[in-house]
Amino acid sequence: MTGDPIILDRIGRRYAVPGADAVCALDDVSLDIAGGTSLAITGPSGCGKSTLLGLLAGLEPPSSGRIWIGGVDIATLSDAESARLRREQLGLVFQADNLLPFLTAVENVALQVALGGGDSQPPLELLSELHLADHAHKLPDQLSGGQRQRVSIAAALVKAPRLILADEPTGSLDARSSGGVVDLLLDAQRKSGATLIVVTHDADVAARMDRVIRLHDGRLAGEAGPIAPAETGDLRV
Amino acid sequence: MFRYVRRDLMRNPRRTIASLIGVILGVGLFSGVLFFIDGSGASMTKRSLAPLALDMQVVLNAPLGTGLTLSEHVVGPRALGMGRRGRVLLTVRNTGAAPANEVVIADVPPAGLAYVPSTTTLNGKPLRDVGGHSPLSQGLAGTGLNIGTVRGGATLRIAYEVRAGRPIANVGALHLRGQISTRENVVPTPANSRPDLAVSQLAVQMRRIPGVSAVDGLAFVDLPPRAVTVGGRTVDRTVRLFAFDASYARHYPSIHVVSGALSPTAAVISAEAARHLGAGRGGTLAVRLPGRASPLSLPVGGVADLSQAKPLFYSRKSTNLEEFNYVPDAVVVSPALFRSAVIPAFRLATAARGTQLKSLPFLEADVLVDRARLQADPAAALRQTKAIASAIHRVQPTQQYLLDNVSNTLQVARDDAAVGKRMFLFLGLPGGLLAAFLAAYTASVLAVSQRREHANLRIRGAHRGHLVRMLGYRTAALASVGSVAGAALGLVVVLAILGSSSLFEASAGSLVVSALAAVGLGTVITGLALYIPARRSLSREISQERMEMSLAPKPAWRRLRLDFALLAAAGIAEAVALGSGVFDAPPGSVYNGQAVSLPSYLLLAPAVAWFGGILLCARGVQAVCAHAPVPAPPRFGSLLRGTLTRSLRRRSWTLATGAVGVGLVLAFGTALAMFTATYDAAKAADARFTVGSDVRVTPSVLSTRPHPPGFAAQLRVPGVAATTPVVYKIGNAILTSKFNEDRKSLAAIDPAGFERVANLPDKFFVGGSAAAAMQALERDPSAILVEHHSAGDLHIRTGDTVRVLLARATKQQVIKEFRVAGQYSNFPGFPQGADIVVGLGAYTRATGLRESDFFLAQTTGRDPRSVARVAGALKAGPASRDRLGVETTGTALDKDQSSLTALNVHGLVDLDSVFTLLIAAASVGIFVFGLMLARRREYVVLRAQGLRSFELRSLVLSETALMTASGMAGGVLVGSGLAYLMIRVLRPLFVLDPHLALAPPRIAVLAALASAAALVSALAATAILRRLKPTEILRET
Repeated sequence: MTGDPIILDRIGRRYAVPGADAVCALDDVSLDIAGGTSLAITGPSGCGKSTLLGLLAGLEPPSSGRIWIGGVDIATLSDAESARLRREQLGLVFQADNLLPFLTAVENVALQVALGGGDSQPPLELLSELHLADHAHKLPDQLSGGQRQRVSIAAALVKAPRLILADEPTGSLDARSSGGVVDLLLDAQRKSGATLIVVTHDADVAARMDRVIRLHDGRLAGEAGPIAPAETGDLRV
Repeated sequence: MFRYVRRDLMRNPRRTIASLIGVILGVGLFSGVLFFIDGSGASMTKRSLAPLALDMQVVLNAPLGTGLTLSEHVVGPRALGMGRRGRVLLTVRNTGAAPANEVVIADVPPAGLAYVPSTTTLNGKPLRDVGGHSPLSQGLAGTGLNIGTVRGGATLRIAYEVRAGRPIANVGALHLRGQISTRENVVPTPANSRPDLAVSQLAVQMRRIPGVSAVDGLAFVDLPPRAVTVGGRTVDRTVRLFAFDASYARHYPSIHVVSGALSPTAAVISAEAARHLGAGRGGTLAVRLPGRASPLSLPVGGVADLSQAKPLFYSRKSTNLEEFNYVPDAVVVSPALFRSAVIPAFRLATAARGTQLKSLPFLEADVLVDRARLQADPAAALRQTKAIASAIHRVQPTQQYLLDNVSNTLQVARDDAAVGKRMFLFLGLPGGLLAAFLAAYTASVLAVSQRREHANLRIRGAHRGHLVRMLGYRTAALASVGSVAGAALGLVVVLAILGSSSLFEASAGSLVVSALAAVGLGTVITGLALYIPARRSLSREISQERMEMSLAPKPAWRRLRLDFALLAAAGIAEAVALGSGVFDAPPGSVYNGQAVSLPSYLLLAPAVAWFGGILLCARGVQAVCAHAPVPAPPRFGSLLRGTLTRSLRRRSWTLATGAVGVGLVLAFGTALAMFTATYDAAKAADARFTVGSDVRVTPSVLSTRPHPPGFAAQLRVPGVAATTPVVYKIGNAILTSKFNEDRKSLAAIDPAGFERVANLPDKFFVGGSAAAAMQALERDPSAILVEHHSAGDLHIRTGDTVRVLLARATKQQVIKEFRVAGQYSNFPGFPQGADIVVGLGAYTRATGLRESDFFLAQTTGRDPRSVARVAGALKAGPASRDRLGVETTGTALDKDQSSLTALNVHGLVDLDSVFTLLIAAASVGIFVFGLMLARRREYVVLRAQGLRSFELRSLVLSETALMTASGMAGGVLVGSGLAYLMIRVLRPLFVLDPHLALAPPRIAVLAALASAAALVSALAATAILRRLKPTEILRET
């Protein structure tokens, strides 16, 4: 299986602010992402990285432009179709683990299985692979930050998604845990052939992706191919 | 810092509104009840005085008058040195024509002067001292000197010498202590009193007193049988001779002159006397008076129906002022004739030695208070009437005594109002508690959302003191603004329910006090409720909070086992109350100035049980939730069920706490609904008990047709299921036991018919049942039922043989032996009290009398409309051909005239219901709002993971529905118990024990509205969810 190609065609996103001018979070962003590749989106805070990821996940619609995932313009999807896309084809990982606090680790993963339906890797098996077998029946608050993030990744990957979206997945982790999380994501991406898009501030993380793009003030400010960590500050525009 | 709080409140309108809503509604309910009490309590003056027959009665001490005066003064020098002598002179004058008998003069020297022994003279002749004391003050009791009869026009002088024990500067200023009494006026009259005034003269003076509307003279005397004749016919029983004028009849409209008119020269006779004497207008009465040689001859000027004239026939005995002692045969003459002919005749009769008169004339001036000028508040009105009474008493205080019925009534109304206020306050108290609960609940919900803000402020350098001060400002602002808004809301709702005219009958002062009390108490209670949870939250470290949140700690009340403690306290209070018999308090009595005794302190027990019961239910809900079955991992189960059950199981206290709010409100609403239904049913049952059945038909005294027992069949109009005849008159029998005898009121009933139409509770039959008692009367013609107090007084036991004089004071009176078949404590249909009950057949056979006094009819439908329809049919049918009075349960007056049962409970319940619904909606809304605040991230995560909108909505709806349903179930359960406790407290208000009446429609409406509120809140919440910015929320750490 190969991940879906993604095309962003002049995407814009504006937020209305009562009593003030609308805020432009993204402006005229166009991008082609080949299926089965990995992409890092970098840029300063407030540049629109997470907004772009939210648009790709169908969590909110673009104000202008189109987003094609595997030939489907997700901006035209209904709420139910958008939800179906997320539950069947997307795996989402965020900086905060975003686990449901009243579900154990294995239940958090099993919830994703229940959401997606169809075949999937058994949750306990997946957790074992992620060295979380001993923690499978613990609630999120009984786990460390790294463990929670790994459970979160397990939940995102359990349905073998064709598109993995990760928003600062290592933002709240130490270097060692951070490396492990990126390994997990890339490993999963390579195994399943999924497309991986990672929003990150971390040059080391970005350096491990196939491509790196940089956003600035909601606009695409530059792009690099696979680069060494030291080069991330000097992208070609 | 203050500006920060202001901006925080202004820029977070949802949070601010959520905080305010509970305070506003709770204080609104509390203040609404206070305003309602002011408004309805104020109108109790009017309601309580409505059934009062006589406002004030000025009764003359010496109705026969003597014209006797006693003057006293010290003669000699104006000043007396120590040891010097003076002379006290007492002059007795009989200014009247009739002699005064058994004249007793008593006197002791004024202070500072001492009697000089053996110096007393009567008309100059020395009188001997008695035991060394003055003959005018004999022995330790200071008995006076009996100088015998003083003839009309005679003057006697008594003198004695005194010695000054100290210098007396002015003997004229000494307080003299001489008194005179006679056989005709046994009440001692002080010397130098003003001469007696006639009733008409008293009336003139009393009419000048502000607040007095009218003063009318009334005189009466009971004449012996055969004292009144017309032609050859006479009345064989007591005849009451009244004297009043047309103005009296105008002021007391229960006196109906049905033909002719009152006139100074003619007599008006009662309808019964007219029938017995065969006389009407144009006839001539001969009235034989004691002390008068020839009968008084009077033309008959009219006929009157006096059967309802309470002012004329209410007992004048202080022990039973409420008793209506009707004397059917009556003659009314003018006051002038009574004064000129009747009083002198009795004066002569009493003057004759050895004369024993059974009845002496009774003279009084009946005072009508200007009720329109009385304050609406009974307490204020009482102050006014007391002032009037005091002014009246100052008019000839030695000649009269005052029966102040209006003040007694107002005193009862004032006390009833106080009891009502306490009762109503209980119905408002939950408002305060709910306000506190909702405020605390909201505060705990908001505390979660404010942790992050507080953490930010701490990072920026704010220390704990800053945060505490900010919390103080926020709390003060929310509590004070919410309380003021709540008081305004309460006022508006009460205005809508009572109307401005009723509400503003209350004094401005009491309304202001209520408003201040509501705002003050509301601010304090809700302030504390808002402050404490938030302050506790502030005191924790953020990391600790996170841990405590995650482990879902038990609420403080659960740790302290507050539910068990509260229920135990309520149980103990009830047990103590039951043991001490407070639920069996006696009913009130207007004439004795005794209010209904309502153990209102016990209303606290239901309040405590209310809170404890709901907390116990919440404990149960939590236990059920905590054991919700979930599939064994790694199976998840269905998406919604799996998510919901795990959420419930691991956060059971969230749902349980939400259910507490809904449960408290629903319990209160349910209790109110049941309380109202029971209250109405109890009032209806009491009315039916008073009437005897649904309808009572009483032949008028003016009716000329016979009403034998068989007449009952003629009353079977459409809608009537059964009828029964009853014979009953006050004091129509004499009951004789082996121990004693006493005059009693007898009822003769057809046992089978009476059992069919009347409500006969078994509990009223001592040691037996109603059916057994009726069967005994049916089977045994000599069976009699005796009221158990009467039985006790005469030492009668069930099974004893007694003798009864039946049809007392009629030609048919006869003594018959009966066997006591049972005793009862109360009997329906006889508000004046039936002391003995016999079978109608036995009564008719023994006396030969076949006239029934009234008939009872049971209607096929018991609802007021059916009863009213039957009453209409009776009036249009039998009553149109005959003079029949038709009374229904709807028109029955409360027997004890208690104004408490007239309280506008429905208005209060309407008020409570409005707030109950609003608070229920707010409670559900706050729960959902709390869910949104605490779980919005969860919901967004679920959405990001692919949960569809309708699934998310279902999740929120399911949790809200479960919370609402469990709250409602607990609320209805606890509310039923609460209603039971409240109704027990109200027992003294009713004759019959109130039985808990369910009110399914009202409870269903309440539940439906709470469910609708839950649905709307949940839908609004999910709509808000859709407007959230998921990317921002998902990025939050």
